[in-house]
Amino acid sequence: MKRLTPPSRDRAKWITREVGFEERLVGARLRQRSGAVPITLYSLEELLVLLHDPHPLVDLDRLERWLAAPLEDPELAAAVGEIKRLAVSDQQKAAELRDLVAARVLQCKEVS
Amino acid sequence: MLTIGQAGENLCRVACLIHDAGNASGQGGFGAVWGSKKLKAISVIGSGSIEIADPRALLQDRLWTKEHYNFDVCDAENMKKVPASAAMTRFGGPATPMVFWKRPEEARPQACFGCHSGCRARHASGMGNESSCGETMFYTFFDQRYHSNFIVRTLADYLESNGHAFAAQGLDMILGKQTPAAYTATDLVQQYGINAFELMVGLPYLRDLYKMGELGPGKRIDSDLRFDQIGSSDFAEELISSIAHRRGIGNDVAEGFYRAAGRWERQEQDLRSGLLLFPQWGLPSHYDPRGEVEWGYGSVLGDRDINEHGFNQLFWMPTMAAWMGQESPYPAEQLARIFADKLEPFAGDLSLLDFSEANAYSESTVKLVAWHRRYTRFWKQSVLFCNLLLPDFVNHNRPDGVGLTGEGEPRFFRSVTGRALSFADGIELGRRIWNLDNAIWTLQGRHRDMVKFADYIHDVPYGGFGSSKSYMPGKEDGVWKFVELNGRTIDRQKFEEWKSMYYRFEGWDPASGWPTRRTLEDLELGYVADVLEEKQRLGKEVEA
Repeated sequence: MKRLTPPSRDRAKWITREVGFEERLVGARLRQRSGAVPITLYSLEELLVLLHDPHPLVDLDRLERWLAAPLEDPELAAAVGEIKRLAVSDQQKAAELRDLVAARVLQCKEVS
Repeated sequence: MLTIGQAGENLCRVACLIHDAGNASGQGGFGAVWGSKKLKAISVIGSGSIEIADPRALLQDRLWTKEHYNFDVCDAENMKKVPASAAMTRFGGPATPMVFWKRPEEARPQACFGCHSGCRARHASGMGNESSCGETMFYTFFDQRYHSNFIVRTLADYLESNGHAFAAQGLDMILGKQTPAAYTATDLVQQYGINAFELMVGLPYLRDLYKMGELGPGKRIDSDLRFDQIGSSDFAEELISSIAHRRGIGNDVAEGFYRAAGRWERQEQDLRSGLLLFPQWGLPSHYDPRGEVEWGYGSVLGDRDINEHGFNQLFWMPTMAAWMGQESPYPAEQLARIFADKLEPFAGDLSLLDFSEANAYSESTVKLVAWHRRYTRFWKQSVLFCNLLLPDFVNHNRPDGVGLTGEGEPRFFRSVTGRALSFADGIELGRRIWNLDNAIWTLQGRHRDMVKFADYIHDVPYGGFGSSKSYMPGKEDGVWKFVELNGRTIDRQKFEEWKSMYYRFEGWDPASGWPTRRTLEDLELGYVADVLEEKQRLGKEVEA
């Protein structure tokens, strides 16, 4: 997994803030019988909670753009771009994403 | 014991009838119907039994399914034989509770008497007992979000003050934690008697309105609900009790989120954008009409979300296999053929299973939807075969993958009732019931112009939230494959033409959607035609 540069205290606070309605990201959880159940995401930690789901769905193009702006974490966005291009299944990409985002949240928590 | 909760007593449209700890008659507001009649509960205690016409034959039927179709719960190795992408099959699948939260370690499957499937669970704690499906999902995300934040914050503060860092794996485990709040919220909807599916789709909508600045203290939709605590047990209690007791915005939500959005003057715009995911009849989204047309068309031609999963395997197997980077357990054409061969009286017509976009407005889709309405009206809703187990089209315990549907239903029916009814006879009886339903809706004022989807189904492409694609079998350029569903919408004009085709096929008046005398009399429902004629609601005869 790519190691990201630790953010400053202010940066960490900014990256992990809750964004507004217009800046939301919509993901989904896929379930037998329920189908794809959409869930609105307003922060990096909410993304991480979704990625802990057994069958999370996130549009990686949109996620990459969401991380670049409004979250303004270009390094994390670039790392997501690398995962997006991996020649593995979507399930494996989701697991890679989970670990990457968990590491970023951890970095932010350590300094904030 | 079948009972209503306080939501039913207070005439909430989202009120259910509740049976045992977690089984509900969810859609339709039956809880409020009981509440209006001052009927709190019906309790049955007895020592009698159901009279079986041929007990020996019934036992032989049961052993027949066990030998040929049931998942063998005694064979641990058997578990490995079922591909993960095929977990949707229940008859031939393992006994796994169909719960979508993290199951506590001390839990066991719970099944109806004699069933090998065990679709629900009972927990040592007693919390969340017997709930399944969407009920076990509507609060889990918020629970994990709220409590993860809390735990991480507390731990981070502690570790920071002690000069330690902690590993990412540890954080993973913490963030994945689910607390009793999810079970509490589910138990609350069961105890107050509220349709959990409304909340599964409606709660994220409420939160979006809050984030938008539309809802909150002193806002246009004034509410003192503490959304900063969404995910806590307290928030769940506050919200759910406010609905059951019609307090604050709970009084609006008690009418259902669709009507609440109307009261808040947001219905039109939110149905247009798809923020309010209620595709037809003011009821929440389930399997999306833009993707799985037989589900959407069946729902909009009826009066609710059909909640009939007979063809879901066709969606699940290829979609999950693709997500996992695997091949579907069955190729598209083979899968379509297994289904098509069982669709009496249209058996063998592969075009009914063609889910390509080009086929979505065809006569083949008319027949598929008609078959589904007929099968479920009789074999499920009248005979009451289980929605999880039947129809059993695909079965992994069979070398050819062919399930028991077509043979199993009439076999059990005959042993129990003594009546030799064929599978096709049952489908025809289902047609009769479906026609009776349409006559009742017509009497209630229905016209074809009311049979329509929310705007987003026509205008917003399906599946805009994930890179992962959804698939079903279909034929493109003359080749069977799993065709992609993402990006689809339902074309308004073509759907109107499809409706006309459907009404003609059923022998209903395409101008109004009303039943005709000839069709009703063919079904020995002449007395229904008399009533409709008296009320001036009989359709004009269709050209043969």
